[in-house]
Amino acid sequence: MKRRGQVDVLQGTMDFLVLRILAREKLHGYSIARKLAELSASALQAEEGTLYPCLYRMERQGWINSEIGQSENNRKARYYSITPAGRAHLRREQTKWDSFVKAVTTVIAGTEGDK
Amino acid sequence: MIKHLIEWTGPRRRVLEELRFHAELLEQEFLALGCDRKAARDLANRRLGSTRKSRQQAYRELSATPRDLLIGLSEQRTGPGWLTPIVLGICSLFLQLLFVPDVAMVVSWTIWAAALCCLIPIEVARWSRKLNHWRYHLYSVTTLLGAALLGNAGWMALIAIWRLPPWPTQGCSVVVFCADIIVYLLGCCLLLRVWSVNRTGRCRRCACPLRLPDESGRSGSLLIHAATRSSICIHGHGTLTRDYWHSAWHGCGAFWDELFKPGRA
Ligand SMILES: [Zn+2]
Repeated sequence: MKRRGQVDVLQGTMDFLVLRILAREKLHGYSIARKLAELSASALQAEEGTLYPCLYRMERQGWINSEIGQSENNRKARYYSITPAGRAHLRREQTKWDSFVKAVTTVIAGTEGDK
Repeated sequence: MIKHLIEWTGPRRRVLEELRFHAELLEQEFLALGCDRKAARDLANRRLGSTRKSRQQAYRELSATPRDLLIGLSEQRTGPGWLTPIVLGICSLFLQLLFVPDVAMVVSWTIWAAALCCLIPIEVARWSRKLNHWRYHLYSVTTLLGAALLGNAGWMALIAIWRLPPWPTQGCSVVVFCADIIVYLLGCCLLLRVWSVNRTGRCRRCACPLRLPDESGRSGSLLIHAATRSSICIHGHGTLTRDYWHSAWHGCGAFWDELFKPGRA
């Protein structure tokens, strides 16, 4: 459930953020959600109904792998890790994201006095 | 078909497994904070929102809802669409005949009940996925109901003409009885086939018959340069391409509207 001030992660952005998180370490779904909230200082919220389909889809696309491992609570959990194809995709998405942010920043800067 | 069923259950199983694990870890976090088990579970549930809602959302995103299964299976079939209700209808006919003494009543509705039960849910599922315009689905369902009424009227007429008693042992020969049923079943097949062919050959938007058929490929060829026939909706809603194996609809915006847009010189 969403708390005050939290924003849902947009569809296309979710793939990108999850890949960024998995590029650092192998994690299970719950940790990915926690990590996302932690890194964004609880501003971003990955809804469970969106996160797990996203992980499943990315695995089907070959960007991530999953394997069963032992979790911190001694339970079987599915751990996800990034594949070389996933890293390549991440690099492409990073470039796109950078130019998008640059363009938006330029527009904001150019209209600063219009407020 | 089995492959499709496995592909449908795979994501569902995964989502369920993941959500369960997610809820469990959340609960453990609250337990570690000093809550008792019940309070921890309640808090975890509250934080997750409705688990059912998350599950449904995940299924929708992965196209793994019952509706998707129905649409998928209807697209996977290799035989003609009208054959399934006929086969199911005949099976249920024989089953019912073991128990019900009034054979005329059983026969009259069984095939059509099977057809309506098989085809209406598929139409509804496709309509809710906005695969075709509602007008097309309404047309399909109405004509199917019409065919059912016509089929039953035909059966009533057959009974009246041949004076079929409720059961063949009551003064009517088994041969006449069987002949009667066979004629009726053939009639049902024909009606369903006409329904199916008529419906396939209509625009998926306005339900008008498609026109200007254009043949290409080698006639008689099934795989390489297969004989293909494409026809268009005269209102410009799209094109239907059909070969031996399947038919595909390519919808486009109304191009006449495009031509007569106000302000166009
Ligand atoms: Zn049309």
